[in-house]
Amino acid sequence: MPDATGPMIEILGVSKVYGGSPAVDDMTLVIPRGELFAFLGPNGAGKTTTIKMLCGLLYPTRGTIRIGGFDLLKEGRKARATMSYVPDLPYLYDKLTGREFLQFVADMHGLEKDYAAERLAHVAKLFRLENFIDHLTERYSHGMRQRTVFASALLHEPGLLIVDEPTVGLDPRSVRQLKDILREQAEQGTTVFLSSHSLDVVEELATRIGIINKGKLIGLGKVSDLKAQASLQGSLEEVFLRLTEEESLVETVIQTGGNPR
Amino acid sequence: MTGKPMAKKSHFPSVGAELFLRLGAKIAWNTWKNFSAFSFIRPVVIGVCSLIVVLFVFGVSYGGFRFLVDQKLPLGGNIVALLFDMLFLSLAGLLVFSTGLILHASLFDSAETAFLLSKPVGEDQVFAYKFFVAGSFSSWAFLLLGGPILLAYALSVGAGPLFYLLMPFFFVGFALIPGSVGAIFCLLMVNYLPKGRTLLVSMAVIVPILLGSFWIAGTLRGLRQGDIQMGEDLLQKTLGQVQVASLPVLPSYWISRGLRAVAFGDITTAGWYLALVWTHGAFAYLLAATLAKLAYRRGVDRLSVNPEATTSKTQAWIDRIFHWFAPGDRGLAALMLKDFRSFRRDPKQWGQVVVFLGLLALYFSNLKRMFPKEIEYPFQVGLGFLNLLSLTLLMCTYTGRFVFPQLSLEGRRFWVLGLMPIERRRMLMAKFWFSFYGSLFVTLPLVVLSDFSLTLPLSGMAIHVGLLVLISSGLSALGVGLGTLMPNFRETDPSKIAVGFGGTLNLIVGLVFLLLMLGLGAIPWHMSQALAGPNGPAPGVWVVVAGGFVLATILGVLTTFLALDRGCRALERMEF
Repeated sequence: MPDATGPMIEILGVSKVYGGSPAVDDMTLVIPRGELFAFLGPNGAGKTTTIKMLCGLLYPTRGTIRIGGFDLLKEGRKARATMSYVPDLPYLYDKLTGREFLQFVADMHGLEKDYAAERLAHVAKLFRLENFIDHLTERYSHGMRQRTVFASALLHEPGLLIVDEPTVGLDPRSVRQLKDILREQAEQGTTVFLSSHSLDVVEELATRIGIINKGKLIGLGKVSDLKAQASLQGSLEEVFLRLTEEESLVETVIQTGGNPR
Repeated sequence: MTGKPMAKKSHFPSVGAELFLRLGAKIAWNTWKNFSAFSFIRPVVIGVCSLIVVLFVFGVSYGGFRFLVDQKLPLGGNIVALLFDMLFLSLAGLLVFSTGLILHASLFDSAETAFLLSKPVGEDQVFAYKFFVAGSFSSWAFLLLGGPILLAYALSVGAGPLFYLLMPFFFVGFALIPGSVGAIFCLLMVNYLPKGRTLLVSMAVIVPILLGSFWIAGTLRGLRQGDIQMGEDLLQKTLGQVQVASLPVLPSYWISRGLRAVAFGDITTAGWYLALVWTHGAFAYLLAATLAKLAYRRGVDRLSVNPEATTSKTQAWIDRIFHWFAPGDRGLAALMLKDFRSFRRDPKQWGQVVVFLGLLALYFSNLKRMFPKEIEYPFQVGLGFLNLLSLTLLMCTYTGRFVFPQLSLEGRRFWVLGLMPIERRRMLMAKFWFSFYGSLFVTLPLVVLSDFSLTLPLSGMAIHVGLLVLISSGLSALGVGLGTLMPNFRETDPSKIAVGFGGTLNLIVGLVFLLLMLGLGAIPWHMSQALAGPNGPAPGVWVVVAGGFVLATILGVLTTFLALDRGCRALERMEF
């Protein structure tokens, strides 16, 4: 039986190998409940692979992942019941209305009828869906789709919310609202695992930040910890660039034996 | 910081099949509710075409059964048993492949299943939902072919109402078996096939289909050679050739025997075979669902870990050949090569073309051997026309499915081409030439093969080749032109673009064009030949034939010019 006060995410010595080369390399990361954790990394660093492993869409080649104490390989269904995943390109059924889609998600999570209706009304109001919730989703704009997907993700009050590039394509008002909601969720005890390239959003929201490069976790901690690690007092952008650059430099030195190319 | 309690509500749900049934029903209802007047055209066209197929198969089957009765051959005897065994074995083979292929796309290459797999739903439940959808799609052909044949049989033997009542139960129970086998194949291949599976999967699909077709062709030849009027020995010999279809361990044998038994009122035997079909169907499905529970998610993982082999950095030999033959200057050739590469690297597209054209090639090349005694000249001419019709219909379908969506798909990445120093008009022409040469490349040899097999005169062959060139040009121009006039930049799936408003209109316009072309260019020659007396066609008939062909040429050229011109103008004005 999992410990209800234990960490929400446990990534223990996890590697994922694609055709011989590791996309994620021996990663260990533990995230407690209620933390808003931001995951940064350059393109192709292994962020999406890590997220897909967290959701059970991919299996680790080595290592263990536990969500809310449930081993993803052995008790994947229970683990998935505690979480929600908002991908960068979310899926909606074109021929369902927003309300029908939300109801379908509620049914998949086995929510009781009255509770589902109550939650549906709550998230519809929270994400301002009322004006279009009864239209087919095929007519939705990108922002409307994104808001509907977020509403569906929070419908069952997940213990863990994983979001991949949530602010792409959103107008400033929606971005502001999304940031408020993510912060509120974390304050209410939901663990938020946020992957983003928007460093300003990350700097504003995250309790801790993990930086991944070439599959390895090269930085982990609060913004101040990362600044100390990078020996910089600048912005998160400068810290991020310094850390990922250093990693590349180290690799170049190893590959060339210290000789300039 | 404290976390929220783990389980506020039902967090470990037990989702039943009814949830997915409700989902399917809701989607169907919403689709129905939002049908515009034009949206009805496609289902009506599909319904009418299906009805034509059903009536044709029913008519031929009924005629065949009447013929057997006239020949004093019992409808409960070996001939009918053999035919039913072969029919159901062939249908089972088709169901294995079609269910397996549809399932592969929907289980492993679909955004919906990725969404469902991230939810607390069992893998076997997602599989069950997708299996139901795939089975429903793939069983259409089974119903369209098997249904009318069995109805004709029932009417011929005067079967009672129980036959009609039990027939759907036999169908569904039987369809479960090959459908489950296809699903098991699909899951095993994804989980255990080594890398570079595109080629292996293609071979696994194409080779058995071609082998099966050879077997059927051989059997039909055998039946023809063993003319049933020539005696018992020859009949036994023919029956022996297809013994494999009548093995009692095959489900095709059970449904065949069961349906024949119920047609003759033998309820006990029918009940036994129905139970046999259903128990094995249920067991096969259980095996497939269990395998899905164990291996579906693993398969998804394996596909992402073992993506298809990367292509060579150097230009492939097939690209070089294509480049040599591409018309126009380097810019035009480069645009065509881009489309060609996209096409050849997508087996889902060319796989269907290969299977259909392979089957047609097999049929055309067997025409002479299936009819060893010279068939009557009017029949040769008629067969020649039907072959031309089938090829051009196939061309019409494929230009609608693959050429029409091209510009819509390009729209999403138009910044690549749009910023290049190439006239937009030339981009469209590149797509036209690609479609024109591509369709001619595969259909021209086939029509020549068909005409040679039927020993049609050179005049007929020339008309067929000329018409094929004109039709290919017109259909390609329509696909490209209408695709530009009615683009759909919101959709990324070409199949969905093809079934939308523009795609449907393109299909209908293409069909009308095709029928007009054949009506003007081909029918006069075929009619004149079929109705010719012993001294050949009437003297003045060549005027009608030549006049018809000239009109068809004008129509073909005009259609090509107008469609391309309108398309080019639209593209020049288009904003992306």
